[in-house]
Amino acid sequence: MNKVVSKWLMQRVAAVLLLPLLIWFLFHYDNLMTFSYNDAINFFNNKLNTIFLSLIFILAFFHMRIGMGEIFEDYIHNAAIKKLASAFILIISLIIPLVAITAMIILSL
Amino acid sequence: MKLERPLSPHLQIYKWQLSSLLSITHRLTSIINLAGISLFAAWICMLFFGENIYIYFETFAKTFIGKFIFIGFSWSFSYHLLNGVRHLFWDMGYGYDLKTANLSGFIVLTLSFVLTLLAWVV
Repeated sequence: MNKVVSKWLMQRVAAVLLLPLLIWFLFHYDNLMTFSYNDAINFFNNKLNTIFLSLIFILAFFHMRIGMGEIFEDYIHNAAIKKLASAFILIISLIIPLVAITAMIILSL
Repeated sequence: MKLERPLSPHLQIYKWQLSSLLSITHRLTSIINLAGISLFAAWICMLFFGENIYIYFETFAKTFIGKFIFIGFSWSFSYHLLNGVRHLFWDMGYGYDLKTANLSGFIVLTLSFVLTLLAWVV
């Protein structure tokens, strides 16, 4: 398969996998954002929550990196800036999920 | 001079209409969602660093601006998710004629507010 086509397809695969996870997330996000410290710690004591959130971080940032690539392709003309922007997105799409998942795993131990 | 591939027409060139507005909103919400999930990661980190740090989040979350931002993220997530389903139908070859596209757009926009409301009330 052509590289661009497989990228296009993988972004859709990630989107479909994210659908049920994000509906789950949407109905927890409102609570999480009002949780006290103890409530939030309790939330992560349930390992299933950590697993769901970890999957969301991995899939969302994977999906996001391809999508941002499309936006850059459409609107950034300068090849050097495009490369720099893509490198920045690549770095945050690795670091943010890594940090978040590590923190959640330690919290749920 | 090396010829580059053509860029997409920039936004100022379009006549405003529902379809283009929703399309631009899809991209806008993708960027807002990136901010949202990054701040969510920051929330996890604050929790990780303990109660003394988490208290800053708790204080912020109680303010009007805090509530506004979190509900805003909920709407942005909802919209991108629902309009994403619309995109998946297009990817499979359905829903292209103008009437259907406008109707599905209107439904997505309405449902995005309904879903946000449901998420915060239920």
